[in-house]
Amino acid sequence: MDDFTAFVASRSPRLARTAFLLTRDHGHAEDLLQTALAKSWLAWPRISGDPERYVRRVLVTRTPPGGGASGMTRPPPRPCQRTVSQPDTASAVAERDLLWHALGKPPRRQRAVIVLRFYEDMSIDETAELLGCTAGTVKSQTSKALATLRLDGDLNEKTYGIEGASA
Amino acid sequence: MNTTDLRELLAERAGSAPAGRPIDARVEGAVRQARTIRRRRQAVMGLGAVALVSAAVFAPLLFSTPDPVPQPAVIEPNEDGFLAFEHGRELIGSASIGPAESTATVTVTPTAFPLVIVTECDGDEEIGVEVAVSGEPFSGWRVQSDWNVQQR
Repeated sequence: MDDFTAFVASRSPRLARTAFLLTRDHGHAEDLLQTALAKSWLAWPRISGDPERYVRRVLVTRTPPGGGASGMTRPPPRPCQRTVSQPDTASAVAERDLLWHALGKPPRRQRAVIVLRFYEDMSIDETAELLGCTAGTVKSQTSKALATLRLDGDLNEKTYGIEGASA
Repeated sequence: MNTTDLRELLAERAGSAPAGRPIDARVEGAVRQARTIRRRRQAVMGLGAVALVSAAVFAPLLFSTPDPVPQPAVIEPNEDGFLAFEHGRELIGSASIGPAESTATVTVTPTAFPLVIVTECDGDEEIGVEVAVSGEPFSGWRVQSDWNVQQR
């Protein structure tokens, strides 16, 4: 299993980051990654092609419905309205925290699409192949996820109007 | 914020993640979990829960007016044009599963008896059989030999 060890050494850091975005919790991310690696270890002789795709598929299909700790966290405080035109670092950080919190609200499938499309930078077709669905489903899931963010009450609509689904 | 900002946020959060477990620990943990999964599967198979075979729709016998003249079972010819036979009997239903699966269900509507349920496994695992008639558990069958089940 030297190949497996080499694979874990080279690919697991990035896979761990993907798992973190899916679960939004470092502990859950490591658990999810270990489960995915365990399944790939069992299937290793049968995996044809790039094993990273197999592991990534397990990651998105085995993500707990609530992600990780997303359901247990309170939304961060809303940023104060800016009264000056120059950038406000604290406000920007707070706004990003709000968006990060809002990203935990879409259902698991939509969250997976967001991560694959906008973090893994996968095309619609690649995402569809990984998730085992059609390209149309990926487009609709992306649109729904972005609509969920757009309608999130915790977000400041002036600063977080999501533009287009870019499907 | 547009989707470019969304990409930046995801990259920022992913990049802020701590280093995580050492590679050796990840490999060791994955292999340990994989072996646990494998042992659990083998234990389940050893308990005889490999296969769940359901023979269904005996309604004419149990719940409705019996048909005095049983009609022969409808058997589709195989690709060679012959009726499918296995173990000396006409085959009216079959299912197979891979090593990663634990149960298989076969639903048939027999009109000729006896009905024989044959179970086979490439390995040494014991195969459990459960029979249901019209969805209800049925225990009126008997084991004929080590490898099959005889329905009266």
